[in-house]
Amino acid sequence: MRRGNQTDVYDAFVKLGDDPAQPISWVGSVRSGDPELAWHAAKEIYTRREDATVLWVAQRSAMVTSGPEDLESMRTPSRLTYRLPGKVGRRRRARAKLADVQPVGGAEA
Amino acid sequence: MTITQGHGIDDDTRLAQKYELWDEMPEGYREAAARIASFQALAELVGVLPFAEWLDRAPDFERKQMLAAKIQDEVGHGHVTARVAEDLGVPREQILSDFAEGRSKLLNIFHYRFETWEEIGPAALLMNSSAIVQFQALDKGTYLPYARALRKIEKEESFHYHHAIDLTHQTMTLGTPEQRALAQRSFETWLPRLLAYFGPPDTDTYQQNPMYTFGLKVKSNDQLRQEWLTKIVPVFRDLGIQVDPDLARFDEDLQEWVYAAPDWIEIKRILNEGGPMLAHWRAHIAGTLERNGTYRDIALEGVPA
Ligand SMILES: [Fe+2]
Ligand SMILES: [Fe+2]
Repeated sequence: MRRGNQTDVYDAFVKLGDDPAQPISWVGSVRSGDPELAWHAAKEIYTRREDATVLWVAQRSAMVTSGPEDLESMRTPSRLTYRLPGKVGRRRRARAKLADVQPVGGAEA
Repeated sequence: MTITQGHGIDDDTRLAQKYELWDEMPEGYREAAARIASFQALAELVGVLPFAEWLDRAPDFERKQMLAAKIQDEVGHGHVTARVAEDLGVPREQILSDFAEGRSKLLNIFHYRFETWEEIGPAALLMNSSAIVQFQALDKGTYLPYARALRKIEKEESFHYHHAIDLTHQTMTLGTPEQRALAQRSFETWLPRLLAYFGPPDTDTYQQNPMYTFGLKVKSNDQLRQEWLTKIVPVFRDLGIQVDPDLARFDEDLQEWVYAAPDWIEIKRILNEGGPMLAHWRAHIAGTLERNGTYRDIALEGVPA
């Protein structure tokens, strides 16, 4: 991961449309010398045609972002198999087989 | 004719590998992506000037509002594409000063101004429709920040397109015979310019062009030109504009559009030496840079860290 170093770049995040359950998404960036002006620039540039309900801007130098080198550490299913229901389900079925009893909680869990 | 004919974008292997700003890119890719984004930023920011100078001459209030919206949209497109270029290392100050100081070229269609109000509708319609055809291909390209910027831009271009249709429709339905003749003449003046805007006819080697192999250019000039004619000629006919078959007609035997070839020597001259308005737009951009320089420097100097 890396720390941003541009103080005059602000990334813009919006939530669009009527569905309040929608996540807030990154839409792009603006360049500005001032945080409030950055917000206004983002409003003028990124919410021209859809209704936005949330608009945030964040100075890039205050952000920490992932890089390609972080890809492996962010990949859950290959790295953290013990967190997944499939893994515990297999353990349970194997145990039931050894003990010769019916598995509990469904075959597929 | 070529192997990509009839070959869909979806299975085009050139376009399979996409890139984000932070990805490793092949040799020369970053520079090529920066070039395409900065070229478009300049086109948006200078291309809006012929419209901007009509703002205080718009004939009614609603039209003025719509024209102002279009102008703001275009400047926004300039910002969005300039951000793509800036992230790749080309600051917007450089894009603008390269133009103001004569180091960069401008697309042929932006070397003119509109002489009459009636000229604007058909000219804008030809410009918007060709931009839309270009962007709809380019947004399948391999550089994702640019593709995203284009998808945002397309929504606004769709409004510009309908606004240009409405403007032309107004002239053709309510205008005097003189006004309709001006719209007709605008179509005939601008059609060859826009045909040239798509670039020279495909060569046998266009597929070796790095822009094309990188998947930054998605379709060939001739493919796009044909798609555009298919889309736009019927729209003009519906508006009551006569499309002279010598200018453009669909040839049933060839199954393609045949059109009056642009004067490529003249186009080349305009690109290299400049058309009628180039010096004026350069001076305008140079003046804006200078006038706003003080404020820009103060604003960016006071950037809170
Ligand atoms: Fe635009
Ligand atoms: Fe436009």
